[in-house]
Amino acid sequence: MKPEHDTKPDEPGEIILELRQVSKRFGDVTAVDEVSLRIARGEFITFLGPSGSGKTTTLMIVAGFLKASGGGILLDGKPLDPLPPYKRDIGMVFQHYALFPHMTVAQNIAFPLQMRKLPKDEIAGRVKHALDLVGLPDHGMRRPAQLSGGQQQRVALARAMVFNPRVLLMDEPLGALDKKLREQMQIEIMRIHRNIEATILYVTHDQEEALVMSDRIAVFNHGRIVQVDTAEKIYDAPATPFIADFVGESNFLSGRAADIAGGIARLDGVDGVDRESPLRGWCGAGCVSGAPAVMVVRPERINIAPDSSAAPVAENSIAGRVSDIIYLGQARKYIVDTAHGVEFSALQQSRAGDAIDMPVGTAVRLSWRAEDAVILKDQ
Amino acid sequence: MPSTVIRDRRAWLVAPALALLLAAFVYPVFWLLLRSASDPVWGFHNYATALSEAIYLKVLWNTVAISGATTIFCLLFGYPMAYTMVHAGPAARRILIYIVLIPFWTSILVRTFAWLVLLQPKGLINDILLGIGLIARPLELIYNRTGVLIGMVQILLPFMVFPLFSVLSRIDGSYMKAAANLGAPPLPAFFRVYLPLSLPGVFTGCMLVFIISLGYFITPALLGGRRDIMVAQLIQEQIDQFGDWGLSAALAMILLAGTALIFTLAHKVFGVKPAIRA
Ligand SMILES: Nc1ncnc2c1ncn2[C@@H]1O[C@H](COP(=O)(O)OP(=O)(O)OP(=O)(O)O)[C@@H](O)[C@H]1O
Ligand SMILES: [Mg+2]
Repeated sequence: MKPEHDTKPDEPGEIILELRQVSKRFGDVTAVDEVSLRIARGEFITFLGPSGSGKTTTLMIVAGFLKASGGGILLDGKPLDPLPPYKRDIGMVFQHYALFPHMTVAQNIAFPLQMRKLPKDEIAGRVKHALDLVGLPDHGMRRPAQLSGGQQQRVALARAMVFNPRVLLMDEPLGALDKKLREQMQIEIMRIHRNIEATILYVTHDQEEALVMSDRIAVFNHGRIVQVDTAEKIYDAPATPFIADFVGESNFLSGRAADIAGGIARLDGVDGVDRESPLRGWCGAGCVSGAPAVMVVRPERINIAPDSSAAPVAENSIAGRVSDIIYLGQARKYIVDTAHGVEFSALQQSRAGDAIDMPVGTAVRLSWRAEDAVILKDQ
Repeated sequence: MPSTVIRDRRAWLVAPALALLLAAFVYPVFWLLLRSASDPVWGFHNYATALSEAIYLKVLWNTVAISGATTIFCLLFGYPMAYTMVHAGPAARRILIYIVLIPFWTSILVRTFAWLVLLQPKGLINDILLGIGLIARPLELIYNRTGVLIGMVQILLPFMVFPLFSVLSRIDGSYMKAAANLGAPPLPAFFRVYLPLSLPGVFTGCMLVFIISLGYFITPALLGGRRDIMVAQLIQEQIDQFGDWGLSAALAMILLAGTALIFTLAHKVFGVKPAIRA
């Protein structure tokens, strides 16, 4: 499957970085498979994908540490491939920061400026400014080893952006931090991104992080980009069942698409669903009448009610039995064994008494609106 | 406390080494110290002689100069060697390690005699150079400083290469990537990032080579000339030919004190911990 929308920019604006069918093979392994992508100036784009899907490899090719086996990269319209890494003017925050242990924080940040032979007083000024920007004004004289993980992360960020690189690359920069600190740093990075108007190429396999931070997300799988879109589009209109499963949580029903009209299709061939209450959803990528298809519904879009109650509140509805209840704090997740032998999960805002309403074993009816479900080509 | 008990019991594990050190090092050193200050009469006259008479001073200076030069050449040859070993593929690395190790397993005496054969005026090296017409007359490669240095550098090279190898192989590759990414061309990246990170290995290697050189005997004795006598030879001569235990002991103590002094100074100046401890 190769969605054609991965080559045309969904964002307007001047293109700063363009990947053209970039491939990378390691022996028999194709780590990156004809990746094409156009990134606008000032954009925050995230590579999201499972482990081994080629995100780091792509980043390393952009940084110049790996040579592509095929394709090319344009930076500001000029081919990047002939330039060695030190001439690319692309900043990078490494996963484990790679701060020089024998230099102080200030010396680390001054390093790229010294390499560019800036005058001493300008270097001092910019180092100070960078330290202020990442909230460490008094830590210039410390050694990296004397900083906490989060502080090292900030220094790495300051060092990577102090020379105003044309593009800033970050490979899972928050991977080593705990959840609280990670969330704090996400906000920090977004703030800095706005302040310095940098173009950022960010790698993560944490889908929440990707949804929170990015202008656009490029979803990687098996070395390919399977979808590039805004967070909302990726979440609401995933291009494939894989994306629906990987980004957020989804319920799936397999069948055949039929009766497409006005962007809405019917899902046929699901056992146990009678003709009187057909399943409908809007027709997504690869939804063709008669072809094998999958209906995707997000757990929080599903209404769950005891089967005994009145008519279902939305047009799609299936019956099932509660098999587990997971208390999540702000919500409750009901795991329901449906009549189709598929397990569904439905999320419901916590309200006192819910669990007593529908304890494990209760016969329930799940229902959702057609516009909240998308029918995709089966993979 | 249980942990203290365990630690106390473990202390016995060092007992054999400690006993050996006491018997083979501390006791002889103490004995030498006593001898140097009491033979033939009590006083510091042996030290005064060793540190004032021109021929002894010359030998002491020779020792320092030859050891220093050996250390520098070992570093110049050893660093690129260790670097290549670290960055080579696994197969090439194994071969290189053996290349460094095999001579190490051969007796110093054998290797020194081998150099004798190679370096003499009618030796292999001069024959080849004469043969291909690079030189008109045989080079004087032996019974002089050149011969001593060639022999010592070759024999002591492993003491430089292995501490360096151990430190260099622990330098994370991402530092050099970061340096390049930040705009450092290969040479500045090497001098600003790689070299400073490798200093503990440089320090340990230089320390080892220099200190072993200070007490070297066979190689300078066989490959050097009269002007390249080092302290160890002098001590041997003093005892063997003149039975002058007092002066010999004083020379030995000076050698020991010098070594300790250099070690401490280097430690203070560079502020680097020897890699062996890491
Ligand atoms: N130097 C290499 N030699 C051989 N195979 C490699 C090499 N580097 C990466 N690969 C392979 O290429 C594929 C992509 O790796 P990559 O590191 O880009 O994944 P990733 O998306 O960054 O994963 P993660 O989220 O785990 O960091 C993997 O299958 C990996 O095993
Ligand atoms: Mg990775």
